[in-house]
Amino acid sequence: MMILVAIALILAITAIGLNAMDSEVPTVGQGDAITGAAIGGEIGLNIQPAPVEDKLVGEEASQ
Amino acid sequence: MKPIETISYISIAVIVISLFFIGTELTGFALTDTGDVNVTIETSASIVFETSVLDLGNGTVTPGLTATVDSESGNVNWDGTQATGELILDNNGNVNVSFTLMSDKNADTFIGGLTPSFKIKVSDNVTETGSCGVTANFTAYQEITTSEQIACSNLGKDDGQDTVVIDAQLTINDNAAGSKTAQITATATALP
Repeated sequence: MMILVAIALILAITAIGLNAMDSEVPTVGQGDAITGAAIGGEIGLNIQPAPVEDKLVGEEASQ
Repeated sequence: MKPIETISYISIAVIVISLFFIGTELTGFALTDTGDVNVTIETSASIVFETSVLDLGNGTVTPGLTATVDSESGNVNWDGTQATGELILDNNGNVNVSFTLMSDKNADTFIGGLTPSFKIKVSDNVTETGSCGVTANFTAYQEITTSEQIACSNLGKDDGQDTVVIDAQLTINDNAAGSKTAQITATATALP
C-alpha cells in the first residue's frame, strides 16, 4: 500500500510540475512580427548671429 | 471499507489522473519510425538608423541675405563649417517595408526667423542602388512636416539593397540664430 501511495505522490508532483512549466515542445517558433517600427534620427545645426559692424571705429579714425 | 482500502483507491485514482495529465500511450517496438519537423518563419518588419545624427554645421548667415545649408552640396550665403554625419536608414528585417518620415518640428519651430524652410530628400545609398523599389515623396527636396509622409513604398530587405540616405536642406534668414535640433521619425510597415 505504501508503494502505491508513493507512486501516486511522485506522479502527481510530476504532473503538476510539467503543467506549471508548460513543457510542450513548440512546433511553431514565435517571431517578433512588427508592423510599425518607429525610430528616430537627429538633424542639428548652430546658427551664430552675424557680427555687428562698429561704424564708430571708422569715423573716429578719420577725425 | 477499511481505511487502507480507501487510501489504495485514492492512490490509484491519483495515479490515473496524473498519467492522464503527463500523457501516456501504448508503446511497442518500432521497426521504422519517422518524425516531422515543422518550422514557421514569421515575418519581421524592422528598420534602423545605421547612422542617426546629421550635423549641418556651425556658421553665420551672410548679413542681409538668406542662406541655404545643404548636407549634399555646397552651402550658399553661409560662412561656416560643412555638414558632418548622415542619416542612413536600413531595413534590417526579413520583409520589404514601406516607411514614412515625419519631424517633431516644422521649419518655423526648428529654424525660426523669417520664412525658413526645412526640406529633406530620400535616395538610395550610393553603394546600394535599387534599395527603394517604389519611390514616393522626397525624391527631390521636399518640406518635411510634423505629419507622416510616405518616403518609400517598397524598401527592399536584401543586404546590399536595403539602405537609403536622408539628406537635408535648410533655408535660413539672417535673423535666425541659436542651436537647433529636430528629431526625424521613421515608421515602417511590412508589405504583404
